[in-house]
Amino acid sequence: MIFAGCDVGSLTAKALLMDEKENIIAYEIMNVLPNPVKSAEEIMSRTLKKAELRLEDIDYCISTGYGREKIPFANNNISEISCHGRGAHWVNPAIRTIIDIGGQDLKAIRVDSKGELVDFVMNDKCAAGTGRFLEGIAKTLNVSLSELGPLALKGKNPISIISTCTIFTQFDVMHLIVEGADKADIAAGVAKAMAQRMHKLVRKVGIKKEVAITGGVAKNQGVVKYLQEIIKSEIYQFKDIDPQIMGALGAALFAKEEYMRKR
Amino acid sequence: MYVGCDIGTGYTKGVLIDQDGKILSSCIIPTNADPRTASKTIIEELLKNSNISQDQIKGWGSTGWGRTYLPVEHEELSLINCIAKGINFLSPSCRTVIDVGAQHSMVILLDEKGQVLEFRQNDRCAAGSGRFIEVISEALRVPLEKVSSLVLNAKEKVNVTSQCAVFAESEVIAHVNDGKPVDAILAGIIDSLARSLAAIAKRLSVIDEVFASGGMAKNSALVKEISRYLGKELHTAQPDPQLVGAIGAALFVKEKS
Repeated sequence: MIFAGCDVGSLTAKALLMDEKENIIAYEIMNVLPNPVKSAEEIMSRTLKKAELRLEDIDYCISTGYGREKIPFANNNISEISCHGRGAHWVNPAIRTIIDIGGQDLKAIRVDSKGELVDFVMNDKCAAGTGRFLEGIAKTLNVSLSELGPLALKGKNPISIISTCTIFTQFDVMHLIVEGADKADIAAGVAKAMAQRMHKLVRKVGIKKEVAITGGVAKNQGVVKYLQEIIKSEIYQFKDIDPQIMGALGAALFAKEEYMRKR
Repeated sequence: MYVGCDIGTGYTKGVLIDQDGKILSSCIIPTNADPRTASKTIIEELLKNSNISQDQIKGWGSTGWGRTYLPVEHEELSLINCIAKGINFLSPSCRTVIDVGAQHSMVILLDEKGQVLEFRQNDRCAAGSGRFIEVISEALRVPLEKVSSLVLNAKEKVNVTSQCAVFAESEVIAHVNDGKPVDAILAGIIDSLARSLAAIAKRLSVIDEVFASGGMAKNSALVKEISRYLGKELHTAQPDPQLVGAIGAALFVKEKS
């Protein structure tokens, strides 16, 4: 049997396929297309191709993410908060707190020993601290998003970033560059500011070990480093699986569960 | 003669005034995140345009975000006080100023002598500032100076729900992809900005007459919309709303000497 999870976010679309024994068959991540339905269809077709399967082979599919209600091939949809919690907990059952940083939102999620949602907080009104924030800074520093993390790790003296607003921080960074500040120190300062913002959010749900970080920004090692320093605890990092896929993974797990229950 | 400089996050403004407060020369240039270069250029331009030498200047006043960078010995002044001073000199009947710059918006209430009674400002978030329009016009590939006329001639208005400039940018791109006309989208953006500015003003008790200053006061579509939300006439500061802070700075140093 084949179960699918499809997560269409604001910046990237993700899909994952698994069998009835919860073995992951394939997953894919891509940048979104202007239309969420097209994004869902494209990412699912890429994932199916990788697994050498067809859409008809899927027994049950659950969609999640901000475009989740519009996905035509999904049997049902579940909020990305539940899906992220479920996915992360499945990978490591010791996880209780999940910090998820998406393209346009920031979430702190608490789950219980079964991986079920206990509490969450979310900011989706302001780009500060989201993937869009880092994207803007990378652009201003004239580096790619994937270079920003390694650059931040090189910075020995993180420059304090005063503005919260993404647009204003981009201006501050431009000014720092003009003043001759080291790009690595700027990147480190930005990573630190981002970690401080995440800490403020995660405090509201309570920091219970293990703490994991998911979403695209989890790939920025600079942010992870400063967050570990601030919360004074190791952060569980996903090694064999992409941290961006947790939502789609959780959705696939829910798909299996719902299918078994309905049968 | 006295010089006032307002080194902002968007533009650097300078004025040269005489003993009577008459403007002899003025200059506005983009700051480009480089307040050192911008303020140096402003001084050169002011002196060149008026044919006077630097030693003829009796006092230098500096205000705005980059006020510390003025490369001569100067007096540093608060922007709120400078705007109040400047508008009171230019339009003594003004009792409320709505100033919108690149990275701030502020509403200042003045008494009949031009003293600051109360003020509210937002300098934390691009939602209520000129950058908001800048970000959107860039995304729509419309030159900033064309925004006002496009909005004034727009036949409809697209509702923009995101407050955050970054999210509004994505929302606007989605509207373009949906085939919505650019002028209608810009009309929605101006409406959203005007609404948040009027909301700041309404938290104070707006006293007549009300004047708009700062670079964004040059956007007549924005001024018109704020006026509609306030239900009051909103005048644009003359001769140039963008120079009000610099004029105030020059007047302060003139009074001191």
